[in-house]
Amino acid sequence: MPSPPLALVTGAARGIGRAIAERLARDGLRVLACDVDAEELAVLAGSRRDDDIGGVVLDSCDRPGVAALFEREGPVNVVVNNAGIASEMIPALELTREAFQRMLAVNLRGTFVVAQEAARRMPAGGRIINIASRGYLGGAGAGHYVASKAGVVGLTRAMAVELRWRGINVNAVAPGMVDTRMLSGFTEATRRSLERREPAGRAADPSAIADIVAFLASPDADQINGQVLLADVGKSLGAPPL
Amino acid sequence: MSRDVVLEGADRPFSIEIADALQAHDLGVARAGAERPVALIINRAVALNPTAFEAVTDDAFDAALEDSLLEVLDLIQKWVPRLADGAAIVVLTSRAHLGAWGAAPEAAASAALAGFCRTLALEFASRGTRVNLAAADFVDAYASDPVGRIRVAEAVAWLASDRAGAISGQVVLLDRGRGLQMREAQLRDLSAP
Repeated sequence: MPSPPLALVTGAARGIGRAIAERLARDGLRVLACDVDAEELAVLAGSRRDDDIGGVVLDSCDRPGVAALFEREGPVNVVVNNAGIASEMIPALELTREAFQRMLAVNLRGTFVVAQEAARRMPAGGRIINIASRGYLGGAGAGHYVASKAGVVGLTRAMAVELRWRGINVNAVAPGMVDTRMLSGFTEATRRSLERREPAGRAADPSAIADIVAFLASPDADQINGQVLLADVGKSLGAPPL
Repeated sequence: MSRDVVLEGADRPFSIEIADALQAHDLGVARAGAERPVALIINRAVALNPTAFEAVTDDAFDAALEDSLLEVLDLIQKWVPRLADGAAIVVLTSRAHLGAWGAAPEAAASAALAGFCRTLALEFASRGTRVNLAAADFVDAYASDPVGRIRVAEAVAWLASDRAGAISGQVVLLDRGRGLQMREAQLRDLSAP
């Protein structure tokens, strides 16, 4: 029997990344769950009965470390670039170069590094899925975050244009509000107010995003390439009339 | 009233044509020390040096982000507090945000710039300041096409003028239909010579 396909998920210790790792494992893939946080990875590993998810301490921006991982593991069939940061709201006129650079480094450059090292070794039939954000469409006070995620979308399209001839599909998922630690910076009142503006009235469970990633990683999604799937229950269509 | 326009990136392709095209709107490029300019045009036209995705260097990726994002941030922070009420900001970039061959850094940078400009449009709306992104073809495509350069410049000047007063937060594609992938579509027409 051939060995199951191998998937690599970044930012996988918790939140959306962990949900993706667990879902792909349930779908029969072997999963490399990568994260900068060794302690949280140990918690994830401890919660598993099987060894279908292996924890790897990895900084997506560390090119030698990323390259060494791919060399060690052999062909990876599915790569999910999920590692990312959010930050406090900063209006553009107060945004510092340093804050902008840091956001771009983690969310955009980290995605580029992992996707490129993956693409250099990926066999035909491979899938690269980049987690962007509904925020890529724009948001006051979040110029640095918006730019980083819009950059992920542009990178996704450029990769899809080139890699399609090697049989590799590259897509992005742009989630809306999801119940993860990224929301922990909000007060309970702010969080409730934000949730009321969601069409579903609440933040999505990370597993809802994992379901979409699992579809894009599956043979069912063969015809989908270079696309951005907005996973926000239609919030980006605009606010309801007052 | 001032008709001064600040043109940043004046040494880049399209800038000479933009300065000319502004005259049709009774606007002109300001000399140093412009008072309350009515428009800020940031020229970040992109010359493509096609590189396969697998071969793109970290330096090339960072350079694209520096040019399209960090330098634009510097210019926005320098000029926005000095702009006249109801001013327009136009940023010129490439069509790379839609994806293009051998253009991963440019695609990431142009798309990021599109998101950034949409955010600026939201943040500056209360000042009455409009922000739009003009996405031309890569500059190489105009090497022997002076009229094409003028048409891009005319669109940029129009976006900077009050005539485009209804438009903000948009990415205006100035690629003469290249986004339709006509060459690729023709390849499918087996009867074509």
